[in-house]
Amino acid sequence: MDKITKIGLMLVGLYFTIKGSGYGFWYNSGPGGGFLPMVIGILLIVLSIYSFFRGTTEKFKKQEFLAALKPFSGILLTLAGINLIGFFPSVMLFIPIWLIIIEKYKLQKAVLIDVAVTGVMYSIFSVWLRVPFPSGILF
Amino acid sequence: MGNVALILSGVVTALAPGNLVAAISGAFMGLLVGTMPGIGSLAGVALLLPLTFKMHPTTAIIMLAALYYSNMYGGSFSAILLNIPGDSPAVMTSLDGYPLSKNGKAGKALFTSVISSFIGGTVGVILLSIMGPVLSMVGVKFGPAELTALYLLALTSIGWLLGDKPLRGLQMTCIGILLATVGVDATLGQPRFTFGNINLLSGISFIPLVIGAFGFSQVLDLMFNRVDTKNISKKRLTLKESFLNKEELKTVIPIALRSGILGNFIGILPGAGATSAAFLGYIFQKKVSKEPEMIGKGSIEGVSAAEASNNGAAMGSFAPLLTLGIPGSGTSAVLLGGLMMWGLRPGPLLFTENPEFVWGLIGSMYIGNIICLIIALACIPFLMSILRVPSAVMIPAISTVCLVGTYSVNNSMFDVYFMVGAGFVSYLLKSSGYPAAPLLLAFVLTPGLESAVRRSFDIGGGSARIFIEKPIALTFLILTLGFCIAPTLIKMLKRSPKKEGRKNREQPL
Repeated sequence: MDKITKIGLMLVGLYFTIKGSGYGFWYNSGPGGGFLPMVIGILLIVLSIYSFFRGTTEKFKKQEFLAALKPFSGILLTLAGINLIGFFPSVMLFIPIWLIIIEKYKLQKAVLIDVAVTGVMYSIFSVWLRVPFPSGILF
Repeated sequence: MGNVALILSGVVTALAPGNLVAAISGAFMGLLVGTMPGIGSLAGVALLLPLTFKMHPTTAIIMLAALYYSNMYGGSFSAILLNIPGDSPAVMTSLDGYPLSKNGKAGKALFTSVISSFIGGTVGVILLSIMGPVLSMVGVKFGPAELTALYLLALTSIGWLLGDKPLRGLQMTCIGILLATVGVDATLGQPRFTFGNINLLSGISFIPLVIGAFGFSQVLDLMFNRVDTKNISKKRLTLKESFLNKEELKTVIPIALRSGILGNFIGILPGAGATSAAFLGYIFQKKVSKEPEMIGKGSIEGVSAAEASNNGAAMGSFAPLLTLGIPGSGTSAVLLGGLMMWGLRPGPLLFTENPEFVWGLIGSMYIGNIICLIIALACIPFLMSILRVPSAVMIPAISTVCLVGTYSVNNSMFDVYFMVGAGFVSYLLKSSGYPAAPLLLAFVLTPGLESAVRRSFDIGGGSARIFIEKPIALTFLILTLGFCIAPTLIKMLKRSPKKEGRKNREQPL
């Protein structure tokens, strides 16, 4: 995984260098739009190559990574839900579903926590600050 | 003496019942807005501005100013307790505040933050009262060349944030600089690295990046590395338990005083703002600290320096705003709009034509700072109760705060998608030993540096001599060079022939 990250960083440097060259290194009397991306891109490539061959290697923590995928997937589903049922209804569903399925909380407790958290969020952001949260296809 | 009499008359104006209520309301709302991730002082002031239309100008500016600087107090709360900076200046506070919180010293961290904010803010307002007009004149002398040199000096300080894996820290610095170049080039008007996406034309938003890098990545980490809340005492925590002892106060007070002065000066510079002040204050403390290795791992010194600096800067940004009509930050630009809306013309004549307004505002800052201190201290026991919430609940709750807070910045779902992506990538990078702080510092400083370099070359007709001809710029460049060379020179001087073989394990930076 660490090697992949190093290659990924090198590719990022390569992208900014190549794309940056199209913006011009020097323009009239000063640095052009591509100056900084090219200089830093090349530096990132050099650092990544050095790190790939000479740097230390971090061990991939598979268990931690697999655990992290759970909330990440939960949020991705919530984002999908936003498009379908709207922002707050989707967020309001995420909390109890998470607490019941993943954390094995009882329905009553999960709903109480949900009402408390989303209630505070809704009162501050939607009612007081009047942030126009998006609605979904259904609601 | 003249200034003292004017300040006293300003304090009397600020103590008028209507103005006092406005200051208390502003301070309370500022704390709330600051604690909520994403909103920040800019949005807070902008949202409150329409409500002040019918108020007397002095009352209105007292309320808005109270919201602005109390926001700096509130931003640190969520940074310390949840590792989600409430606003961008609180990023540096989270670096030490959250580790302190994890070590069971959340009360101390909150108390340090509040007391340092108070000292930094008070130092800022004293300097504003005494030397406001003079300081803003110094600020005006900072042209593009001087700003370039100052930004370069600030960038060298990244070296102190690289951690125990300097190579990875440098790579993250590069990523931060590259990410800052995304969007329309401010000087040439050319879109860069936008992938044809309209949302990227204005560049990558800082707040979604911060919430992702600190907040959401924290949620992902919390899933495996859960906090054991069973060991936290069930009894209600009192304010007394959060107090700093004599030794800790002896450490914090000088840092807060020094950082307040530094932050105040940075706040005066146009475009620098409280975020840059917090970064510089923190880095400066790391340089001068007796225990620099502890800063970043849970030190009250780091919390104190960052908080005093950003509060000093918030006060400092009023100097160019009132005396020259130049806003020192985004929030003071909104305040400038408010001043004009009330028929006031900020500039050198404001002090003579509207003394009641100006000194009433400055007087209210003294009162408002004390109000903020009292409210913030009273909140500490309540805030501490957050620590007893189990990780099982914290994971969905923080995720929700991240989603809602990010959306509210620009009312944009793109920002939310970006935050989630940034959080996941940050988690992967962090678990591979790549620190996030250098990326954020580089990201904050790069747009200013790039713009200042361009303008310097434009003014200098393509010649770099402009950096040598300006005394302030030259001084900063010499300091930058000194900071780059000094560690190597010191190392070389310290290295005796006998010890040479054994000294190879020394830290590279």
